[in-house]
Amino acid sequence: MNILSGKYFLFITSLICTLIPVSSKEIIPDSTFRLIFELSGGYSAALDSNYTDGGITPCIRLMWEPNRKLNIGLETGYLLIEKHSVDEKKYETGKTEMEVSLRAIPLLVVFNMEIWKTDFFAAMGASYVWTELDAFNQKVYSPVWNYSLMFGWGYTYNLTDNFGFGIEAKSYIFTRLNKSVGSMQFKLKYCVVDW
Amino acid sequence: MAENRIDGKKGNTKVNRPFYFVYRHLLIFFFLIFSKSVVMADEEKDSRPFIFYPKAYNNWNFEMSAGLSLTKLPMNVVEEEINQSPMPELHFRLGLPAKISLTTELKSNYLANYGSLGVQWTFWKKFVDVAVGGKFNAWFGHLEMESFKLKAEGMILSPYISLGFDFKDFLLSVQFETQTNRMWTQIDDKDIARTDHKLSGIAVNINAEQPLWHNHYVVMGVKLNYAKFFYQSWMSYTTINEYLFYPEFRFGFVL
Amino acid sequence: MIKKRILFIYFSIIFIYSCEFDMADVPIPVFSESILKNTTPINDFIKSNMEGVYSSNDSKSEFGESLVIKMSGQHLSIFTGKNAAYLIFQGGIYESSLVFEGYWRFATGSETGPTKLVINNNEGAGDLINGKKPELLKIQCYYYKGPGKIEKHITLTYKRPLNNQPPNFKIIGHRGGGRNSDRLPVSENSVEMIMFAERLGANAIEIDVKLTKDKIPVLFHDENLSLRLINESYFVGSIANYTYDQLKTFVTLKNGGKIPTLEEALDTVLEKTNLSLVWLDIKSNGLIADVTKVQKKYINKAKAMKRDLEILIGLPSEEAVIEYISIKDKMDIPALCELSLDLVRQTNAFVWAPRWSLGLQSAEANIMHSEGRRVFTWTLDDSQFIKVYLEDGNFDGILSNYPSIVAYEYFIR
Repeated sequence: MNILSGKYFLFITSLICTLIPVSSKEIIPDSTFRLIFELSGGYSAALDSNYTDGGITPCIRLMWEPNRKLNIGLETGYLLIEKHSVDEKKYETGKTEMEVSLRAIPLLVVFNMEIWKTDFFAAMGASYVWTELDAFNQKVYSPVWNYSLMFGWGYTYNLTDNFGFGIEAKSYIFTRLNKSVGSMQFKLKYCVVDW
Repeated sequence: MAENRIDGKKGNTKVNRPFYFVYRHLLIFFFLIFSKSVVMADEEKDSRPFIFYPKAYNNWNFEMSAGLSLTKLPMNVVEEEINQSPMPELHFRLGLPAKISLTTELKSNYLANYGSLGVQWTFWKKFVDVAVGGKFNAWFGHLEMESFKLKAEGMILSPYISLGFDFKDFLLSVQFETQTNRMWTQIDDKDIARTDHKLSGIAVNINAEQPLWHNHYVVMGVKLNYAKFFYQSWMSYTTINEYLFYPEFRFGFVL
Repeated sequence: MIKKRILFIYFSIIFIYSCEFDMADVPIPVFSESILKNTTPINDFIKSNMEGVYSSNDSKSEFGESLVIKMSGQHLSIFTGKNAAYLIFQGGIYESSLVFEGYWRFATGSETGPTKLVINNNEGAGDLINGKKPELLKIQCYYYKGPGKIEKHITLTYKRPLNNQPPNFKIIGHRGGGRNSDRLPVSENSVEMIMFAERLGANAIEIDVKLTKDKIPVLFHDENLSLRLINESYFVGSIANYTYDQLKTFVTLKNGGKIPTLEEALDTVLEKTNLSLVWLDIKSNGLIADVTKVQKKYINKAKAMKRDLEILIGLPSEEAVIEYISIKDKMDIPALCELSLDLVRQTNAFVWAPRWSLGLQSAEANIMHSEGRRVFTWTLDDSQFIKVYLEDGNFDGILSNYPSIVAYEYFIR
């Protein structure tokens, strides 16, 4: 099965997984609401590539954690979707080398839930995607907006009530590009304010 | 050009796998569900405000939700024109005796306007709540501007079966429905054509209802439509006679 | 609780397969062994006498009761009124018979199958081969359907010649002949599609023109490059951000081929087709001046070749009208205007082309006719709409993604 054809499945499963509680017993919630800032960074590569063509991916997230299981927030970051290069070659149109890359800045609404002491999350939104091409002595910068999804899993170790660190594995899906980008990241989590 | 050689044997024709796969597995699934005898639980008072979960309401209990749905339209139909179709929506549900509920749905983004009236009966509750029901859906669309004087209206019948999984502090419902569609088109207020689709599609509607803060419940869901026609893209007048994927994402607040 | 988890996992597995399905390509079916191997080409006499309206002996077949046969170059096309079906063949003379090999296809779906036609010596082939108009003309049609490729057989009998009223009616193929979403074997807005259009029943085409970064007019419909039209996912954004050399070298169209320049497209029309009209649909502002230069060049080239070809520049917006009006010496730049009647007069456009969604516009069409202008409508795809617009409308041409449906409804009248 091509993982790309199951992208909606993985997204929806994650969405559903965010909603499975740890226990079937009703939990009496406290009244604390928190605003959490997360900073993460790691490596990402297209899931149909040979993984060495990836790049460094920073990401920031702002999450609202109310006194229940579901958390909602916003995420943005930067990632390299794919890149290709060809050495100088002769074509019908002339001789040139070629370097092209496709990059994105996602802007996503994130839904997150802790299940079995780990975080499952899914997101949807739009990404600013652009091509950078250098060929025939002409540089191209060509942007477009694309609908995108994201799902993933993470684990956070809380050092204190307000600070923690952890890891995340996630996948960004760019539906019109028919591309999925996987990313492994290390993250820092800080509670900005609680009330 | 690709070629497909024929030797009088089976050719390389694409079979409609998704349909056969889903229906075959639905049969297996229902066998699993009904492998134990049905024991109807006594009616319990449930104070949780849910709309989609198929558990029976207390008599005359009424709930409503308001939210937004966003449908991703297939590029083969809408190309670059419309990528997504957002629609504010309202859902209502009224509990009646004998474990019956009346459901109503209203959605509109001005170009497409949709309403449905449905009834469902919860007939089983053991480790899963099961209800069957049907909805009569009507929609109309109008586009009168510049070079458009179009109106269209249609009706969709969608019988369904709904399964509910109660995880105490969240409720997951999964609904399987089929869709039969009829559409009328008017140009400049004159009837031009009528289009029928006997099985215009199937859909799996997954909704999760849970409290977001305190006891304020939210609905998050996705409806996976696999259809030849979808009312939100009526103005594309698609002639593509294929089942295409229209995922519909939903988020709302139970009021 | 465990049962719930199992059922949940079960649902998830179902979704692996049912989540998203792109439309599969529809390859052209062929016979493993061609029946055209030892045939000689058919001549123009045979081609012209085969054209006509035929009746089928099996009205319940996939192709209905009446069929239209039309020749285009070396190809024979059959258009039907059922299932939006069309058939395309190449043929030859084999001993004293005429044989044709090709395929049938539902234009709006993906069903297709290989097909052969045979005209026996005593059913008209003998007369045609000897240069005589046959009194009886019967075509035996063998086509294959379904996964098991069951052979089906119908007999087509010639009834009458093709209708040609109103004369010079334009069956205009959209985007050169058809769209990518209809899974034709060639890409929209490509030279391959232009060569394919007549087999689909078109006698005219509409093509979409955009400018590259280095101001070269090319054929491309969308605002942005995307997987709808090209195969390379890493090229996004507007085509105007790329030079022509970059597009030609690194971009391939969805169903094969390269993005053609407008000149390449018009060369193909002139030299490889018998199309009688090209509608240049201008897709962005600021390119009328560049496009009209090419248009003029090819109008003169067609005149020199004594080729009956109209090339009209389309004016879809008020900005395009303003640009067009600002060009001096517009006499050699025939235009088609999609807007109001006043703007048609202001631009002295040869053709008024209102969108189909405005209705039949009969009164307005009559006014245009009284001023010596023609009226086309666009883009009609539904067979019910096409029939209504042909029967009740007063149009001189219909632009469609399914020229085969328009061709059937027009020729069968």
